Amino acid sequence: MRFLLAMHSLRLALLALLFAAPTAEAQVRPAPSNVAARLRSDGNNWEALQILKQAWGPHAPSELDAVADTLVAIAVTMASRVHSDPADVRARKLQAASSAVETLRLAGIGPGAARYIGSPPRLLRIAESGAWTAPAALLALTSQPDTNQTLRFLRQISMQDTYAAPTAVFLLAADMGVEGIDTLRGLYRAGLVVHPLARRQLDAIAAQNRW
Amino acid sequence: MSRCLAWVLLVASTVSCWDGNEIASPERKSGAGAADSAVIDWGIIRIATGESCDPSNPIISCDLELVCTPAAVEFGDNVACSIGPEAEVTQWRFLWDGGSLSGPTSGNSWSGPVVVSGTVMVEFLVNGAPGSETAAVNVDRRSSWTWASQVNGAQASPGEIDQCFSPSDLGLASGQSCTGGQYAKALFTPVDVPPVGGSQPYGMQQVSGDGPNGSLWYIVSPTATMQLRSQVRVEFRPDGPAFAMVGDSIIVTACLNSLGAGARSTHTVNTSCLNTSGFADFMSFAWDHEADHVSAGIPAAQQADGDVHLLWEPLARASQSDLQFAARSAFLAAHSHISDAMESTHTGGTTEFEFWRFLSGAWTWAITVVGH
Repeated sequence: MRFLLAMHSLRLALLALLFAAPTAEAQVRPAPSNVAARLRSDGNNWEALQILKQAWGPHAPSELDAVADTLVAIAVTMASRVHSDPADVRARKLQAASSAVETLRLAGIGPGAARYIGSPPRLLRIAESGAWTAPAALLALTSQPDTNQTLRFLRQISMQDTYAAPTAVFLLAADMGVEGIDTLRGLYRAGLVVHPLARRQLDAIAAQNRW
Repeated sequence: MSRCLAWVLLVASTVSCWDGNEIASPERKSGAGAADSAVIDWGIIRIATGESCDPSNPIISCDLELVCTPAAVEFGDNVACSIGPEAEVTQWRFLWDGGSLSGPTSGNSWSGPVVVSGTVMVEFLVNGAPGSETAAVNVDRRSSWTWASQVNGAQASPGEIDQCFSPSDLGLASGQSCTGGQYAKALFTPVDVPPVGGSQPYGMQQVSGDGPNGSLWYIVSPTATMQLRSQVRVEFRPDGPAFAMVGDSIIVTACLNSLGAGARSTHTVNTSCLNTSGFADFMSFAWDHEADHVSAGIPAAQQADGDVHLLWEPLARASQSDLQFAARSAFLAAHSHISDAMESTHTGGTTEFEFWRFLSGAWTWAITVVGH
């Protein structure tokens, strides 16, 4: 009898756990916390993308952010520029880190309401980290739907003495159209670009545009 | 491997579990050792447990294993995946680090040529309960995808990469295909990866058929290269512009006496009109300085971080535009890595060189300050 009562309690507990899950397909749809954990172990970006796009149903913002922050950690730590990995290991790590960036990019694009708005600030964080993936993160920013935000972020990186500053200047000129050129003109006239290579790049752009 | 969400309670030798609707007692499997080892036929229960199917675990049977053969396959060869007939397949998928590809929504096998490693996932029903199984597909990478032996550097010929100088550059190390503006510091040929439809520095091919990699795009025949050039501003070179001999009478007279009347270049003034040691030192310093940049760039391009061909080799995407984006990402990342290595030869500090220059419309004895 005691065993049956214990079984009943267990059954109730399991039911409570199941219904705490977000979707009707909970049996085969992993929870965001599990996805974040699996991202660290096997780099399952597909699940992460489904979570961030809320393809399996809505999730709390904190759950989405936890998955996205795990992608940031992968993009930064796997592509740290200080390493002692053999070439083949390094290549695989860079591939994993690049995929994390690409997942954030795709999550931020949408479509529509499925867009994860936390992507751009996280791509910015990767860009500011100085990791090998920083230029890829900036490129990913250029495909995000909020162009004004992208311009702001690229401008911000351009003004920093950071690894990705030359890429930010380049993308403002090459990918952001008239607004990008206007942004660069403002930076040039105010002398706000400090990274040596980025500054020389901007000098060349200024010379071409006769600023 | 199974991925499920059910729960297991072991009480003594009794095993109970829950399949999402009710707690059920699984059947013991018949066969040798079954009674002693309590091998349980989990059926749909295993599907819903979140436990990995583990053939070595006597508690969990693995009847519904997804099998893909061969486990390791040559690039472009066929892989065949199948699952037992008791599974009513609802979706095949291929997951890889570049995305996901939806396959057939029925059928218990999926096969075709593969070009990228990843995971085959099958979703199905067994007795109405959903489940999923996954299996890894490991594709051997294509060998010789490196540009390490092709990247190179040399001193530029007269006129080469002159268009890439910024106004403040006295010397420059850049790629032989650099242009002005945003491509002034471009190291690679071509200077960028253009959008689909442009002249790509690689070919794009699509996996045939409708198998696990069917319709995926991948890169073939990469042509991107890096040929660095070191150059000194044309103003200082023998092929530099000539200026009228006006200004300081010392040099104007010296040129008139040695070469006669006529406009002269900075190089001629400092080597033929007068032999100016400061100018010789400056030119030597400038060439060496730029050569140091080139020397730092080549090994950086041969590392995994800078080897564009190596970085492109494993890329596979569902569309040409996604492939172009991934290729450009790697291109920019490699470029930054190499640029950063080339910049790292700057050691700080400055050196002053004194020689004749044509400044503000007149020849004058000038001090030229050069950063290290």
